[in-house]
Parts: sequence; C-alpha cells; structure tokens
Amino acid sequence: MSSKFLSTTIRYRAFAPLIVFFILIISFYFVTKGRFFDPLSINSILSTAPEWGILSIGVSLLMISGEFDLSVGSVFTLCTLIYAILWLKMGVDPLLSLVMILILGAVLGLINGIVTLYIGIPSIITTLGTMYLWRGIALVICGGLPISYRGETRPFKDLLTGEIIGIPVQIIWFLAIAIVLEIILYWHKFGNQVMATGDNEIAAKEMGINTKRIKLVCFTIVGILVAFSAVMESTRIGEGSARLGIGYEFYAIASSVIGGTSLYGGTGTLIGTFFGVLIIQSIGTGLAVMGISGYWINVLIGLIIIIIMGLNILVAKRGRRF
Amino acid sequence: MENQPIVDMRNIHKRYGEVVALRGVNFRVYPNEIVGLVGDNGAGKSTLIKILAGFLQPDKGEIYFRGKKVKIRSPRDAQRLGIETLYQDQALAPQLTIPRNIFMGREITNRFGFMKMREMAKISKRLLNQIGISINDIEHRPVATLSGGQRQAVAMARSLYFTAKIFTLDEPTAGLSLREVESVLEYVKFLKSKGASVIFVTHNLFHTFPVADRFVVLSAGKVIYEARKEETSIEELSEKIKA
Repeated sequence: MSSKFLSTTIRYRAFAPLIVFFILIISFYFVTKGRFFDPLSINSILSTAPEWGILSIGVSLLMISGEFDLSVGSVFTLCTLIYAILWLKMGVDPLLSLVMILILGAVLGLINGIVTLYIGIPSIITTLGTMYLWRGIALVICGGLPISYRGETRPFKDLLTGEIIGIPVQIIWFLAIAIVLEIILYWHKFGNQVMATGDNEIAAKEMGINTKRIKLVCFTIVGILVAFSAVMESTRIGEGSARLGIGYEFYAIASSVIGGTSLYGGTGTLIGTFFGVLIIQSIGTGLAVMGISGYWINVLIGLIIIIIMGLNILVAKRGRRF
Repeated sequence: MENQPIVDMRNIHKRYGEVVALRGVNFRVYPNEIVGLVGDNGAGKSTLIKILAGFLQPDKGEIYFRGKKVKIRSPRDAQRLGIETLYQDQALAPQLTIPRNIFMGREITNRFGFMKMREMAKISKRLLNQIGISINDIEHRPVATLSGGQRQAVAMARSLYFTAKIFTLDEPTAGLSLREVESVLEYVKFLKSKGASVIFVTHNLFHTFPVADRFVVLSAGKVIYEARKEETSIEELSEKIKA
C-alpha cells in the first residue's frame, strides 16, 4: 500500500519540480544563513509569484493541448489599463468592471484561438502578432503613462491582495486555481481530450474529438486567467499601465517547462507549473537576499531550463512517464 | 448475397485539388461478411474508407445505411451508426495510458463529466484478456512503452468495446511481424464470429485472401473488379491489381 503510494507519487510528473524546489530553498537557506526565510522575502514570493503564476497555469494547459500563447504579457497590460479606465475614469461599478475585464480576457484569448485554428496560422506566430498588437494599443490608449489609483480605495483589495491567517491571499488563489484545473486535466473527460489532442491530434480527431473546440476552450481559459492576474497585480501596485506584464509570456513557458510540461504537447501537470513558478520566483528573491545583482536571475533561469529539459529527455529515454 | 447491404456507397467522387482520388465508386458491405478492399498504393482505398468513417466528405455520391440515406459528417456520426475504424496509425496517443486511449473521446464519466478511472481500467483489462493479450499495470502504462502487437491489441480492444456493426481496418497488417499478422487475422475472424462485418483494406493479398469472403479491387479511383472468394484466386486478383 505505502510502496504503491510511493511509486504513484514518484511517477507523478509534478514530483521532480517539487524536489527541485525544495533543494533550491534549502540551498538558499544555508547560503543566506537563514535570511532567505525572512518573513518579508517569503511574503514577497508568495504575493508576487501568483501574479504571473496564475496565467502560467493557463499557458501550461494550452501547451498540453499543443499550442502556445506569446501574447499573455500584452493581454495582461491591456487588461490592467482598461480595468483602471473603467472604474477610475469612467466610474463603472468595480464588480462590473472586473466582470468586463474577465470577458475582455476571454475574448482576446478567443481571438488568438480563432485566428490560429480557423485561418491556420501557427499559434506561435498568431500570438507574436497579438503580442505586439495589444501592447501597441495599450501604449496608444495611455500614451505610455500609467493610470495611477494612489489615494483611491481599491476595490477587491482584501479579496485579491489581502491575507488569511498571515498568508498572502494571492498564493491561495494560485494554488486553488492550479488544483482545480489539475483535477479537470487528469480526471475530467475534457482534460483527457486536451491531452489526447496535444499528444496525437490526428488520432484524437479519428476518435471523434473536436480538437479545434478543445483548443479554443484552452485559449479562452488562458485569456480569463490573464485578465484575473492582471486585476490582481493592478490592485496591488495601484495602477494600470502599458508597461506591466513584460516578459510574462516567457516566464510562463519557462515555468511550464521546468514544471514538466512538454513543449510538444500531450503531457504536463499544472501543479508542476505551480512549483516551476515558485522556483523562478525563489531564484529572484534568493539572489536579492544574497545581495547578488538581479541580472543574474536570467542566467540561472536559463541554466535551470536547460538542465531540466535535459533531465526530462534522459528520463523519457528510459521510457517511463506519467 | 440475397439480403440487403448494411452499407451501400453509391457513385462516390472525391478529389484533392487537381488529384482525383475517387471517380464514381460503388461499394457495398453485406451483413456478417469480410470484404477485402484491395488495390495498389494510390488506388483510393484509404480515401473511400475515410469517407465511410466520416473523416472526409465526398464531393458527390450517396451513402445508404440499412437502406436509409445517411450523411456522415464526422467520425462521431459514423460511430453512432456503428461504423468503427481501426486506423493504419492505430489512432493512439503514445503518452497516454491504455485506458485513456481505449476510451479516448468516449470516456466513461459521471454526470459531471468526471471519468470513472477504475471502471475504465477494469474494462480495458477484460477486453485485452478477451483478445488474448495480457499487459500488466495497464492503468499506468503509456502506449509508447508497448510493442507493435500490444498497440494493435489496444486499438482492437477499443473497437471491441464499442460494439459496432461494421469494422474498417485500414492496412492493419502493415509493419507487423508474421506472428502479429496472424493475431490480426484471428481478430478479423473473431469479429465476424461476433456477427460484425469487416472491411479489410490492404495491398497485401496474401494477408487478406485467407480471411475475406469477397474482394473489391480499386484502381485509379474506380472499382475494376468484384468477386466472391469461390469465383477467384490470388493470381487473378493480383493480375487485376497490377493491370
């Protein structure tokens, strides 16, 4: 019984990133002589990682279905801006603004999906286009200046940026979203069809799966999660701006890959991505605590991606995957 | 055959751009028979079968199912009629486990759409035993780790479960070892013994001749010859294919 539990756990793809994460924070603990576990740095990891982590969960799901989204950072920035404009400048009810932003995110995701699937442009190109397009539009709207809500009472402040028994609520949202989507991915028929579509799209079609619809839903989920993350970060920093979300698209792909999602689709875990996000964010914080220039973070992330990809390929060659 | 055909494809045309794949094919399948659909590469066999499976739409022509005109717009439509296809590529997702493959697209779920994993694993095991293949740890084994014959068995288990009236097998023996070919032929007979009809698509007459009841020879998108096994021979058929 316990050995069965153990073998199932090890087979679970999120197990490797979990181990990497623990090795990493334990190393940081010793290297920084315990300063890494300072409540301030822990708090900063737990409250800022989810802002790009939640959208990374969506990006992983999309990657498992066999598509990419490079536009998440731009959709993100456009959402923060329009959210600020809606409730701050136009006086729209905050709740209604939030709902409208989630719908906007869904529509922008849907546009990526429709252009990719029904015109037939590879998603990496479609979303490269919309990456420039939406950030461009955001810059045009605000002329490059942030719309700040300093001094305003921010709606959903406690819901999106508060604390529950001392734990930043962001991380709870992040974990909850990762778990819910992981359960759907592994135990709901939709998830099975997402994996089948990403693994062998022709086979999935032959078995009667509407693979376009499956992918379209994934693109839309990404859009909704981006919109939600955008409102969360915007609420914390108190502005909407065309300069937010830069680099999130690559953080999202990096954390997915570190977490065990295949770049070729068909397999991956969202809990793995959860740890992938924490790994990247901990590296940033760990280096800062050690007093090393933040510029080194990119060096480390690059190395970790290559090492983990290499390990994945070695493990795959030995034939056992979840 | 005196009785009514289950499937009657009439005057089927299909072209891919400039290439004409089918030019007015008439093709019938009668209850409980094994039809060998033979022809050289590029004769149009796969196209015809993919139209019947709902994977392609004909440009012209009608399909009658038990005497009633039907439109097969998608693989799902075909499955609903009871036309089940075993594809050349076996339609398997290599990284997914055996039960996930067998039930791909037709998962057993509760009313909220969540899969009954144990039930799917149990049925998968039973189906594979029926075919006479035992694979251990099936609920964790990705199809990628299976041998060619085992993969074939998984694809067969799938069609066995979704009890169909007509099975189409597109080049089921391609790339298999002699022993594996034997098991495919056994399986074709097994399906017939269960009352189903089988369309056996191949360019290898030696594989299909021992099991088929009737042969249809396609060449350059047309039916050029049809005969029951008693009326023909391997030699005659291969002459027709080469012609």
